[in-house]
Amino acid sequence: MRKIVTLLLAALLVLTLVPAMAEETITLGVVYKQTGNPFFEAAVRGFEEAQKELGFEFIHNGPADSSNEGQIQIIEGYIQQEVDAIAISANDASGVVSVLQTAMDKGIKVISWDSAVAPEGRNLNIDPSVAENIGRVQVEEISKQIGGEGQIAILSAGATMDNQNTWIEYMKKELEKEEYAKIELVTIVYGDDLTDKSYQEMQGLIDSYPDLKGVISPTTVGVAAAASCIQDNGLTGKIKLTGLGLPSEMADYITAGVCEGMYLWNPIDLGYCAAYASVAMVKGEITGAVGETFEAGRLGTIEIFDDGNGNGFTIVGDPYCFTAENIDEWKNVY
Amino acid sequence: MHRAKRFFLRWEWLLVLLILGVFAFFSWKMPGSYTFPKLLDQTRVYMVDVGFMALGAMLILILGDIDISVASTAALSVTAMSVAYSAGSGMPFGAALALALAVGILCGWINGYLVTRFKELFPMIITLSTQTIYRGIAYIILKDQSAGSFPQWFAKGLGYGKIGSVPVMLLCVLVMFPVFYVWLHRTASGRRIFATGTNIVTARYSGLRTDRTKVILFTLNGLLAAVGGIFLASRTGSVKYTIGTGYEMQAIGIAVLGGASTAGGKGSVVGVLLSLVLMTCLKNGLMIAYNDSFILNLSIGVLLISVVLFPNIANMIQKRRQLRKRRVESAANL
Repeated sequence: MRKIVTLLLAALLVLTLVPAMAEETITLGVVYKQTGNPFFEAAVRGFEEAQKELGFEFIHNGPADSSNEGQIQIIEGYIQQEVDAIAISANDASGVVSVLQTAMDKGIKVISWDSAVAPEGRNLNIDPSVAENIGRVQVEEISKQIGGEGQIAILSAGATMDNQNTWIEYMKKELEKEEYAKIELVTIVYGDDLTDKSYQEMQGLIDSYPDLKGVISPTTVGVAAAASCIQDNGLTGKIKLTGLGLPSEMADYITAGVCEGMYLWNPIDLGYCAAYASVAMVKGEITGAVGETFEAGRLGTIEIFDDGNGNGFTIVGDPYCFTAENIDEWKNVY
Repeated sequence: MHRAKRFFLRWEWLLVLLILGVFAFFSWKMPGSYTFPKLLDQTRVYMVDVGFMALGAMLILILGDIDISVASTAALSVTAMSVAYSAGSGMPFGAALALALAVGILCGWINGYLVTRFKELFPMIITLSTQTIYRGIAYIILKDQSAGSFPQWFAKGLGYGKIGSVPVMLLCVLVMFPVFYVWLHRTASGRRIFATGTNIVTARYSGLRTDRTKVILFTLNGLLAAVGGIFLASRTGSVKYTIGTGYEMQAIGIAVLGGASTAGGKGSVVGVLLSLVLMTCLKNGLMIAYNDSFILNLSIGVLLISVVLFPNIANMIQKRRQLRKRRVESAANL
């Protein structure tokens, strides 16, 4: 027994003396809201595409339960592995600030994409599209579907997710317009991007609001759960649905008429752009300041704008509408 | 000689061997990032908040009971704290901290009261109910929002501060172990706890106030949960009602791995400390070796079941051997 212990100790000593191998290539640490979410799997494909063009290394992970603690654990692991940049879609905009600040103190660049980190915890934020447009098109769509009057509800992801809150703000602003005077937003519920909780919340909406005409769910998990709940209740066509959904997940519901139209941008482009921005920042080509530009491969030159408070952010593209006419050509893409 | 043999056959040595093995394996696999100083940094993720709860879980397991409401107790405590403080506009932070501890004590006492008052109900069922009740109250208080903006000394100094290269948090939890060791293993009051857990009827007939012991230990467990929650909140800097979900199982797992048994009467402070260290080494190693949250959870489960089964299987083999030996002997005597 003692011999084994001595041997092990000796082995340890040797191992700790082996110097760390010098890393030449850039390493990115990608954090997303949760593992097993097809939206983020598509975004990772965008990182892979950029990787082929730029030749960096990247690791990616998300918590199993879309929790803030899980993301912190992953970020701490990335700091330990001395990545050059962390690209994160945050579950709680303020919950990862402290740990990301310790990362930045160590010279790691922090880029948030999809769902922003609070400005003090990041160098740059990448929005998929102009938030105002994302909010507006969904209100336009639901209004069209329900014929411009009746009760609607919003099924969101997490109340601490920055992107969701911003879009909902813009939806409310849009609903104040005169043309939507007959539409009443009855409630906002949160499914936390978990399929079962989203389904329960949708069931709750059906039970609590018998006159409900439409639902907006600006999250891929929520909109799929809502569609399945509407279908299970035999309410296809009675409760209209729109939101932000993945074509591959929503194709059947769109063909079946549960959801006549929904939006999304290209998550592959989003990951692709985040990868280019991260590499540009590690190389020192950009610092994340307003007015800078960087080359993002096939997406062309991307400019960094002012978010209104002097913090840099940038956008990737426009939301695209998926309907029964075009869903077949997209359902196999992402 | 016999005493020395017994000393070396103790459970703790198995844990020490496992720690050395795990450490040797991962530092061989990842020489650059899996080093002792870097692991010290990671202790704040894996050792501190769970450490307090694991000590509490051990106390309850010694009694032969179980408490699965600790994570919810922690969540409710820090929810109360962050709402009372309300980003500086509420009560002073010191008072909010005291409130969190008071909430933890109250939650623990309620568990203890129910367990001793309604003996026909399993503690598992009672704490399963309080688990959902405590977290439910936290949800009613905070809804889906998060609260935070704690003072700098708390979020930075405690959460991410270091003395030399040792995280402040780690020192805070390490102080607890000698105190618990002396109390449980070296004082009469500690012996009474073991006596209560070993055989509660005998203990009661010997004049021990077993119900009182139980209520006190459940209350202490609630307090430890609150302390764990406070350390967790100092790391996240933001509190949501879901904070710490699943920590009760981690805490119980660590206590069991440390030599506690659900049958009661067994538990070791040194064992808990060693299994905390083992979990830190293993979880962190898996985290950075595979960057996959699912693999992490799965491997921990496999480790727990195999380590818990190990002594049982060893016992079984030993008994079979003795049986065979006796049979051979009796055959020879004939």
